[in-house]
Amino acid sequence: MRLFLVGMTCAGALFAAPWVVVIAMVLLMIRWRAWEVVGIALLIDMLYIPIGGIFGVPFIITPIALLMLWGFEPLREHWLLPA
Amino acid sequence: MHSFQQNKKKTRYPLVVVTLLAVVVILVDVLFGGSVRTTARSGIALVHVGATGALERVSTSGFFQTKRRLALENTQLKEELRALKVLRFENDVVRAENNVLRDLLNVADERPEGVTARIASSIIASPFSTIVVRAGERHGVRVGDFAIASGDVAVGEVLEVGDGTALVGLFTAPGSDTDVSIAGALVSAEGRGGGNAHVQLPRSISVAKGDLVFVAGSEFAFGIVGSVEVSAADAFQDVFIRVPTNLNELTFVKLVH
Repeated sequence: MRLFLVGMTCAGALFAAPWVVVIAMVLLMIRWRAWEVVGIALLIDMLYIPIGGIFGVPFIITPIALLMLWGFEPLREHWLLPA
Repeated sequence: MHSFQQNKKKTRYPLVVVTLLAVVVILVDVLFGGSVRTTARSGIALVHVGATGALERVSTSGFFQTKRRLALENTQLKEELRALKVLRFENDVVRAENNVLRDLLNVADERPEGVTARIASSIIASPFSTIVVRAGERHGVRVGDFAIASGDVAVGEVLEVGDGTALVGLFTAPGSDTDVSIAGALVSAEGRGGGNAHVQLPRSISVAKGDLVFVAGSEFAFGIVGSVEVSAADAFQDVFIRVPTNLNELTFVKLVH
């Protein structure tokens, strides 16, 4: 399931609407310590944001993904099964 | 308890490593003026073009199509061809008329030179309304070049140029401002996403649905007026512009200086 979601997120980052990618990323981060999400977030930022950044911010998705990944850690530990 | 904590640390190990790696990549990219992203973009563009090509080959191979669907598609294509022939004829007439008028007015026919580039990323997938095209510095592309779709419609401008790729920002990206000429007035059009833009004009300026909007200072069209909203109490009118091209179906753009 994790592998399927990672594949879907990767393909989605290149071909699908952003909301598909967001849903897949959030699902991955809630259920697992999905470090792959950070890589995908980096890919999206580097592919679509110019060097000067959007409104001066060169990386947008990666910091959000990192915050969410670490932010969901207590939730994963308390409520979900170990990965 | 001690072993539990050690176990927890172990399972967090990949997360810590990836976080540190991400921070390193971000720092290197920022410090070296985006060198990491330019390299990554070239690689991703290649993957995208390859994947798109493979998908196209599968979809056009007819493997997944039934005979009935093919017959239906054939009929539709014939109808489309007939309509296009009519449009081509009309176009020829208008071109000929245009040439005569240009000669009469002694207007020099100076078409800006440019390079045609394949779009190497999906417009639908881009969260920031930017697209990667497979033409860069070595093809003569420069920052600020217009990206032109069919029908001389300027859909965006080049934001960044790599060696073999360039990043194009769409004019209709949410929050982006583009100077346009509409009914003789120079105003700033605010992108609304999805090939739409919005302009506020004084009510004294006469604008109607279907009017052409041009990019200020150029001969390229920005879009056409889709609707005009005027309220009796307001001194301004809201003009909604749409791009006459389906941006999601674009596969090539011409980059001109």
